[in-house]
Amino acid sequence: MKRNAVLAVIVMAVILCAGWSCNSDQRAQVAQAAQDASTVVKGFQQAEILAHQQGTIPDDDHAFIQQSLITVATMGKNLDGCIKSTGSNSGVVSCVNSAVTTIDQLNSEGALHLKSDKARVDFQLAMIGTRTALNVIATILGGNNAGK
Amino acid sequence: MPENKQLDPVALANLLSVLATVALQAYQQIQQNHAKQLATAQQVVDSALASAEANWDAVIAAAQAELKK
Repeated sequence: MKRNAVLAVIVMAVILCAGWSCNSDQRAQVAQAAQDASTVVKGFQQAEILAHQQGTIPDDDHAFIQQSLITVATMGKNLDGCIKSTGSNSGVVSCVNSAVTTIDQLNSEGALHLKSDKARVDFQLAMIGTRTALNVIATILGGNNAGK
Repeated sequence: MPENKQLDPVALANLLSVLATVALQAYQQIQQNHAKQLATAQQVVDSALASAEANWDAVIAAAQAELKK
């Protein structure tokens, strides 16, 4: 009986050593990707404001873009909250997919509403960059909206 | 017919006891390392999300300021 107990302890230790799963790196990568998305948007906004001040982006386009950025930033804050509070990978992937849908919608609206070529191209690039950063999150967690 | 040699039961028990002690120590070390890893990863997560939050707030504030002009 004593020998069996000792052997059970050894087996348990081996199993725990071999099978230890650690998704702490995964969570760190997800949080970093979320930060990257926010950095892309903030950088684009600063460049767009400067371009508008220099007169290369018309007022209407500028207003449309800034309004869209409020939508993107609000979506970004919601996604961050989701990453913090959701316990499951599938829950976060669902939040990411919802965010990507919002980005795609804004991108389509931008193509329709923006008159200036520069504004349209810059806006599209910013949305693609943000979408890419969000897709990284989905890929890390095993769900991917990249094909859509 | 030669006698089959058997392991001394006391020696075997001692060996198993030593192995169990080593395994337990290894398990405890792994637990401590894992706890440290989790704490470090949590710091990275918290820092990255705090930075993202600050960026989003800055974007909203700047956009609202631009729209008021």
